[in-house]
Amino acid sequence: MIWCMMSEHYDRLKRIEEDERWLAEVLGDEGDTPNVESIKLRTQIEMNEHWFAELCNRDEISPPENLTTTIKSRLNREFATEADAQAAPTTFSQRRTFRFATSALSLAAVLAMAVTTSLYVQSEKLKLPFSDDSSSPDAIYGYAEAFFAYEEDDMLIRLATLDERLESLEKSCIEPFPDDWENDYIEDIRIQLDRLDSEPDFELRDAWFEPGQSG
Amino acid sequence: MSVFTKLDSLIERAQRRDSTAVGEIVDVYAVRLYRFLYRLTGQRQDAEDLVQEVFLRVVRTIEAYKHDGKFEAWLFRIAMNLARDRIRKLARVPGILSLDAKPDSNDWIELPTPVARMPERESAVSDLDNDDMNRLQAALMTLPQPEREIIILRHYSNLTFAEIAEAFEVPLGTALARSHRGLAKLRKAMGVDQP
Repeated sequence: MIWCMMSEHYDRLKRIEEDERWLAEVLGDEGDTPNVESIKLRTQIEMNEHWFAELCNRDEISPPENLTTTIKSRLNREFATEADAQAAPTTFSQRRTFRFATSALSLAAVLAMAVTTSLYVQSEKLKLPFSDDSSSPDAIYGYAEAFFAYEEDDMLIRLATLDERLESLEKSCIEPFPDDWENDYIEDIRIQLDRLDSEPDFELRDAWFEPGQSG
Repeated sequence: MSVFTKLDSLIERAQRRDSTAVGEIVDVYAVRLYRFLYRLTGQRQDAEDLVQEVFLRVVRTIEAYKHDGKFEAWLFRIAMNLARDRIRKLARVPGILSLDAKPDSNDWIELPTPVARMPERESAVSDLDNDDMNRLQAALMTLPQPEREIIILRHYSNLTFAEIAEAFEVPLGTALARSHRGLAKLRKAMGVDQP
């Protein structure tokens, strides 16, 4: 059964690969002399394109009336925030304090998310219906893994945001900061996430709440 | 001033943090982006949120953008990536099924959530009374994501296949093949004979 499925999957992949190669060959080089098959295919593609373009032309879906106004006011808020961020720190010590406070807030947000993640994963595990196919350890592990993967993506996005914030703060300051503790901490978080990838038994919450568990 | 020169100027001003220029870029692209995102996600609310998010990303990153005449490709690539993220997250939330239904499935009209959240079920959508467009949207949602993305990108962004291939980082032949396969499936799903 499994062999059949694998074989079918392989055949499908092979077909797609051949299809792509063939299509690239007949359409790829403009210098090639077109043969009957390529002309036929080209015609078919053009007709399909034309058919779909006609449908799209009839697409009269309208956005909400206030769409551009909403976007512009959101962007204006973004510009205002930027201006505030640039205006806020004036002296070196103020900038340093400001940077510390912003970073602390960001880290607090990331930590809060980690707590939520752990609690949610735990609660979802408890809620899993232990019946039928989903009762197997593999299914449960797969479920948890998929969920973690999702959260991990989210975590990385947030980390990227954190990085961006730090970078933009850095840009807004004239003098460089001598210490680098925030970046060290971010690096530490990255190490934890790498371990999530490489060590199946590694639990995110352990890393976040037990000091000295990094790397 | 030609359209392109005007766009060049808008981009340059936007890079200097000119909010008026950004507003004009919004005027030029918001509706097209909305339609593109709507067809990609099948959700009005998602499309609305995502258009906002696209322009936020533009504002945050336009200083780093090197204008080489491919602003539109850059813009739609941001939109596509954000839509992908949204779709991926939806698919991973427990209780919500994948947006990618089986491509050969014949039951595309009756697909469960999130297709159940699709436009034909939204009562206030007067402009989607057109049966063909409803069926098209439903059929689009049954395509594998790469095929759906290429078809929609091709027809809603006005990018060439070469630009699309570049955006997807795939060979030109792959982009063409995906579009060809996807359109053939769409015709079949819509009950239109193959040419």
